[in-house]
Amino acid sequence: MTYTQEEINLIVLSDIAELTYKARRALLSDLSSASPDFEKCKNFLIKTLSDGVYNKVKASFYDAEYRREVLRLIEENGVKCVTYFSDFYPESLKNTDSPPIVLYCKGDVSLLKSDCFAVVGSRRTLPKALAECKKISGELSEKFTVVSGIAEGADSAALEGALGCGGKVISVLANGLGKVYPAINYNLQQRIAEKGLLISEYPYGYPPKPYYFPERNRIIAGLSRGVLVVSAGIKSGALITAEYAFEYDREVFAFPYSSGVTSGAGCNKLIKTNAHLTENILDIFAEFGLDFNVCDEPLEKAELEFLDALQASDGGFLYDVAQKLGKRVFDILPVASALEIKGLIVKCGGNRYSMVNR
Amino acid sequence: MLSKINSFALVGLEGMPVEVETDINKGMVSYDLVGLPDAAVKESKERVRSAIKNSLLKFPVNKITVNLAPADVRKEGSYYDLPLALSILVASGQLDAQPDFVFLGELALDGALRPVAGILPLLISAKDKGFKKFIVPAGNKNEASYIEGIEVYALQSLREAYDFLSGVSDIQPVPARSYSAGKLKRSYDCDMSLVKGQKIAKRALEIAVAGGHNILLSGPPGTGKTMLARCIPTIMPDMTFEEALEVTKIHSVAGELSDDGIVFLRPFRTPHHTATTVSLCGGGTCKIRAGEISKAHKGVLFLDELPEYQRSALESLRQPLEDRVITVTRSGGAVTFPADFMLCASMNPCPCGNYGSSAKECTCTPAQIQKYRSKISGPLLDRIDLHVEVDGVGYEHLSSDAAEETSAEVKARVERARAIQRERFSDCGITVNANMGERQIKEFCRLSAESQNVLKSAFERLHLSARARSRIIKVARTIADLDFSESILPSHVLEAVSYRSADFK
Repeated sequence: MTYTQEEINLIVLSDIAELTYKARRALLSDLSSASPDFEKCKNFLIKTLSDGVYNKVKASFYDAEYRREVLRLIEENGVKCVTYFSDFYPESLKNTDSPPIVLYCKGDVSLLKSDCFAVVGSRRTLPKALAECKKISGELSEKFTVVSGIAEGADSAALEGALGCGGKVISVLANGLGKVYPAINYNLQQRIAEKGLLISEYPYGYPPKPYYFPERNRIIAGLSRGVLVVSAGIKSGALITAEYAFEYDREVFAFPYSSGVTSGAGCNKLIKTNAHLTENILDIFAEFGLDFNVCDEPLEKAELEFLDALQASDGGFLYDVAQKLGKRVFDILPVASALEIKGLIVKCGGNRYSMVNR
Repeated sequence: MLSKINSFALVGLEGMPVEVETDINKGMVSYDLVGLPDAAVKESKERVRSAIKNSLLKFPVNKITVNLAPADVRKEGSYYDLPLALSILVASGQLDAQPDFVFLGELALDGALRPVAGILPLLISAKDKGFKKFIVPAGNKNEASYIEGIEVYALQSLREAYDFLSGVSDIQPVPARSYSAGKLKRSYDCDMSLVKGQKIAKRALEIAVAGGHNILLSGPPGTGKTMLARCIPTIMPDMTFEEALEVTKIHSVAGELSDDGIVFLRPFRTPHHTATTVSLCGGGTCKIRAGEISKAHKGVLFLDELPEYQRSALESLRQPLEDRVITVTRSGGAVTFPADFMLCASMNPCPCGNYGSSAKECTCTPAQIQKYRSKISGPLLDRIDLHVEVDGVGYEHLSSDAAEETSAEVKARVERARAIQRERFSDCGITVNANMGERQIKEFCRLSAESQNVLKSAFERLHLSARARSRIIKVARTIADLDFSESILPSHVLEAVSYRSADFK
């Protein structure tokens, strides 16, 4: 990828670790020019940094060796930089109050311009919500590019679900490219780089920091036309994403939970304020005026009976379902397995099952 | 004068003939014991001296040399007290030579005979070597009474032995006892009917025992995993006499035999999770002892809280699970112990223990759960065919109105399924489905096109690991056997698929 001199300016500026987002923005005259004006911001920078650091930063910026090194690093690692002044830079992000100056990308950059929809949630998500998250992401990916973080739990489930259906995905990282966090998602991250798009606001190789995560969430919300919160505790990163979405005037959707479920309290709180209660894909598509063809796999009589009994049972225990059907437990085990294979019910541990909303 | 007395030494589970030779000569008064004796054997010198004197016999005041032959094998234990004493008595002319007898036993200072460990394997080996007459301590009487075709005299004291051998008193050999008669009187402490609910776990136990599969139970604390595991021996087929003898040998050597003299009930061993590799597999520097897996031979090895065990200890189970024996090699030699046990393990589903519980919410992240479960290595999980969850309900919440099946009823079904398997594998050298290799799976577990499809979609949709495949087929075969079905139906495959809760990609 070749960059114009203006873009290189932004890339180099973004690489200087000492600068904060605010400082970079000030240098670029509030994102109106691509050549930093060190003299104009001198007082501001010396106040926030210090004399020595200001001089060092300035020296680095004009140092030809440093500039070459920065470009070499991204070139060597196959990173594509989409700057604020690039044609690829998404309009949706430009409309937010703090758009990232450079997006470090790996994968299909054209996805930045596609219609995006974010699916986010907690790491501690119930198996039922996880299965529904996977399903709904697959369905969303027919019309949207699914955007999420890459944490375990709901985020990975959303990405897996969309990838599994051949859909497009964008994963926004809270660390520089070239790092994997959490390490358990190494394979998933590889797959996204091949079939979708990995983006990050942070230069190549930056390790994650706690305050990067809320910062990253503004990009997830900013990119997307809507945000679905699959699960969220009362204090959760997913709620921060939802807050940004409200701020940017995007639609917010949330799964409903029964009271007392820790991982759902945040969702219920969102629904109480402004979010759309979402049970299935139709609730989301209706909001955007899209239609969706539901095609159900045909079910056998025993399977339908099982589903009815499961719905009527209290804890979803298999022995309870068997009792309701008047059968022995191991006679309905094959039915349960068959339904699980069809993705209509999901194991919740302790021989309990939950229905997956259709 | 010179004397020779027969005795036996224990090497692993086998007896080895030892001759106790005594030479009494004129010379400076001394009393020497040679022939690689260990500390316990060396000390027997003093016990023997006191025992002889206190039995109102004469301890010669001459130069005494006692040799334990063969001289290059280390002699351990207190078996040699009695033969040593008698050998001195013969050498000093107080008793005639006794070439027909084998003597075993420890002496008290007053001359009483104390029971020793390992009598059963010693007698069996001695019988194989052609010995017919034995004198053992009275305390080992029960153990000795189950071996046919030999004369065993169980005596109280050295004096009694002296009187018997010199023909003063007449003592009858220990009467032989029948194993089957004794077996009927014994029963296990627990029974399937005492476990309320837990239908799925019970069914899984039945399948596991029927097909000889190992089983992993996972569930929140307090849901009855241990109680279920304790029921496993109650539904296993009764031990045959040969099996009981094998088990008794091991327990006899370990000195853990009860008063019965033979093990009637299948062993149920529960080593604590601090157990080391050596305590599980066996070992020791000079005398190599059997480990827990051998003591669980023909029974159940129950590992509670599986992830808490040392990794190396768990990995050491892999080879014995495959070969059904363990060879322990030390500088002192190598000993092979049988280790044909059924492994039953239990674990919590996640670090906080509440995953799947109806009472409490689980607070673990997926990575924490994954990390916890990955403490158990894939190769070990490969050897455990059934991974079963127990119902996440507190024991007290289970209604107890319905009558539960008793162990005897389940056992009857298990025995029928075992009979089918014995017939099927009559010329394969195995007896149960769990031991099938790839070749036998191909031959006996042909899947119809429909069953194939079900299995294929299960793999695609449930993300089962490839190693789960042969496990599911084996379990499906056992389920079909319990169903008296010649072919494996889709429902059998589906049920087998449901017992794979610990399988992850």
